[in-house]
Amino acid sequence: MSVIVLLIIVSVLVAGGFLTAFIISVRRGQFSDQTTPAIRMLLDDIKNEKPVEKTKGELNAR
Amino acid sequence: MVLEKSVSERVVCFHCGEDLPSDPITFEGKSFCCLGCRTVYEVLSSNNLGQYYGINQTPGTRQSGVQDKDLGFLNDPSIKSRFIRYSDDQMSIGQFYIPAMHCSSCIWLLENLFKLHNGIFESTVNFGDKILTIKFDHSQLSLAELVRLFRKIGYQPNLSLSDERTGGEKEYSYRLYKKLGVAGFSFGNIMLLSFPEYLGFGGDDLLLRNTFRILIFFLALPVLLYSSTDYFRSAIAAIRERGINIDVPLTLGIIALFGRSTYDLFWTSNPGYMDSFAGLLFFLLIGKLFQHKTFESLNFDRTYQSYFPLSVSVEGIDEDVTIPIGNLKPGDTIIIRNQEIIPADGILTEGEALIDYSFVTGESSPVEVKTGELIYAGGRQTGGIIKLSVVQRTSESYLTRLWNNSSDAKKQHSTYSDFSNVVSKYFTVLILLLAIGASAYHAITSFELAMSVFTAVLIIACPCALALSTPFTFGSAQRILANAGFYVRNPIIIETMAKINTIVFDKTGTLTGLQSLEVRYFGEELSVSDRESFASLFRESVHPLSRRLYLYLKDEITKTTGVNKFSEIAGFGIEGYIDGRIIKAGSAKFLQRENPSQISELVKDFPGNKVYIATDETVRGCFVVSSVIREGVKDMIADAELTNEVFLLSGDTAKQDLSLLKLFRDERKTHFGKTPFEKLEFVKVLRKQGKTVLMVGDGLNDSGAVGAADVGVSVSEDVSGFTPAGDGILTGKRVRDTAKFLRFTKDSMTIIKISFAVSAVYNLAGLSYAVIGQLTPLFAAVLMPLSSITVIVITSLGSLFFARKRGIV
Repeated sequence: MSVIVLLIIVSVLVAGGFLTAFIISVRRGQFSDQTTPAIRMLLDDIKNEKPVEKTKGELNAR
Repeated sequence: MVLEKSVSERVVCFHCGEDLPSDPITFEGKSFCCLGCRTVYEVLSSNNLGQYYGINQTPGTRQSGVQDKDLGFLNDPSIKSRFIRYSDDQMSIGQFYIPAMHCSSCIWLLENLFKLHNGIFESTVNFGDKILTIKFDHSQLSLAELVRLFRKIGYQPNLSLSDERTGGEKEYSYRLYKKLGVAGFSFGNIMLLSFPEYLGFGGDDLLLRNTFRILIFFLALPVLLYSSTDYFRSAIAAIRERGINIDVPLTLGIIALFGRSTYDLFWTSNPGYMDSFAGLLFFLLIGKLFQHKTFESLNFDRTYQSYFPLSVSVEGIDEDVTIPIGNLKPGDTIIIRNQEIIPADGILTEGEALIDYSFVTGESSPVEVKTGELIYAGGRQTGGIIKLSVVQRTSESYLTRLWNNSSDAKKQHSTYSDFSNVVSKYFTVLILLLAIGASAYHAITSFELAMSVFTAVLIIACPCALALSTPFTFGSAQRILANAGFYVRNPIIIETMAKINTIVFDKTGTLTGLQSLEVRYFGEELSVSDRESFASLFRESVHPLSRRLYLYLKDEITKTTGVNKFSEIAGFGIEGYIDGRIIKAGSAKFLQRENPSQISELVKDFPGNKVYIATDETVRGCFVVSSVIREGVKDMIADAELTNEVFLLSGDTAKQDLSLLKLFRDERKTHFGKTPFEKLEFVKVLRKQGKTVLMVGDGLNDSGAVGAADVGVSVSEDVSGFTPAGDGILTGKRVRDTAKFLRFTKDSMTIIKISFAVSAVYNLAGLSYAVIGQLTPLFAAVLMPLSSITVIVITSLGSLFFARKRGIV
């Protein structure tokens, strides 16, 4: 029976991991915009025709 | 199907969907209403962004009337910093508020901006807030060029001063999410861990039981220390001010729950009430979050500064420069073009000024100003270019003082509902008496039983359902009203609205719409050929008044003729030769030589724009173009007068508006020619008489009165446009529903009373167990969520029911 103690503790820790993930996502602003992502996913991607040097510029920027 | 067909058959502008003029612009087989719309289409299709038009039909906004202004001021570091959030040597991140954002096509286009210019790395839209965040290379693209690019595709960002959002609201809701997350996590886990004991398993296995209990305690601890802090803080603040709000009995319940459960967990064989404790906080926080609905894209706290443009052209020694209006000094000469707003009080030095003060004073006819006379800040020039010598800084102008004056009169709205505060006062006293009485009775037999009964009463009486009914009712009401086009700043205002017994309406822009215009003609009878001539003349001009008058005359004629030597003098009028006659139309000044005094005497008392007409130097008559009373307003006022006193305050001096007077039962309740300060005083006096006043107004002239009323509502055709600070923003076309909205808020109070009664029944049932010492944790664990959910269901369904009944949804 005592193995249940171990299992329960592990399960609470796992749930705690999800809680932490939730808190981090709130902090990073995932809840600041709840409308745009829903619409954005319905829009088709267009072919990315960016010139090459632009991509470079973006890499540099990061 | 039928609907679709009729839409496609109507010919509209391919870009913005507005009706096409008689002479549309065609480009690549598509029709456009104006050059602006065509340009946007051209830019997008040549950059492979034509898909913009594939996602939604006519996704654009009308481009005519959008002005191209010098954006040089955007290089000023102090202004730049308003838009640039981050900058290093390779790129900058800018943020812009773009009011025109309204559909998925907008999102698609604004997030594909990188295709338009090499200097743009990426752009992200926040649709709810209408904010565009853009990462760009400032060596390739300056801020001014970026803004120009936005304009070119029809998404003009808002560049006015001080329209910054503080972000404080957001911070608060982030905290709420986190607290709710912690409470929910603990609630779920504690419930699972408590289950075995409720069902009677594992009681004999001490290791198992103790592990569970320790875990439960440590899961409940963050709920007490983190999730419930707001309630403690608010209760302590209330007691310090010698008052009791709903948070006081809640806090008592929280302490009793946690204290009693801790004792039970460690020193007795009872499992404690920790799951009820975490559940209580979980439900309470859900209520808080529900109530904390904010309309991020709306701004209720505008200052005068957001009405003014960011910059103005100033005459320099060598050339004209554009400077931020904050840097204007007395003595500067500023240059104002057609349709621009005057940013500071100044003396007219050059040009012909015809100033539209309708937003500032409520007077609907533009005012003529002579050289050497003072022009007040806030007016809009209609006509040619004028030059002003600044006499006062913007911050000291007449308009600014009016604004500041109204903010003095601003009242404080509490964040708590008055009704629930009164109820909780009696409730707390009653519960404490009951708890002490019951424990005193049991103290004779056993001290332990007495303590257990004392805490049990506090636990079961914890007014969770009570505390939930106000946020859920007001929260639902706020959402329902928002869907109907009426946005209230915070839910508590709904309670104040339910008490309204006096309504004050402004006229121009509130009861009358600015969109639909009515034409009246005064003067001598016009023959058919005269009408044809004037219609032909008006057809040549793109001025809104000309277009309206052309439509007015069009139905009475069969043909139009060509106009020779047509000329238009901005702000004054138009002229041309038709069939050998000179035909003129325009302001009284434009026809001055012909002395239209007789006719101007005739139309003097009618509000609106006046267009005089003349053939061969003889004035024939005058058209008065005025705004009409909105549809449905008549019935609304009649409805409102049943239960309220209704007043009209107009800044207009014209008294001839009989159509308006007929709306009101009592003529003495209509007041004309009121200055902004008189309006403010009027509202203050009504309040002193003990009336609860709702003020509905639109312009800056009403801002004082809107601020001073118990509930001040700003009317706006476009809710993301400029509105004076107030408690609510109402869309123009829903002014006709004002009376219904008020009834609905009264219904909301009924819902709260019903749900209070229901939660009282639950409390009584629980109390009857608690006083005899029979309250088991399982009973509490079932009763508490059950009563909360009942209240949530009653309030949400009740709000919907009453909204249907009042015809709001």
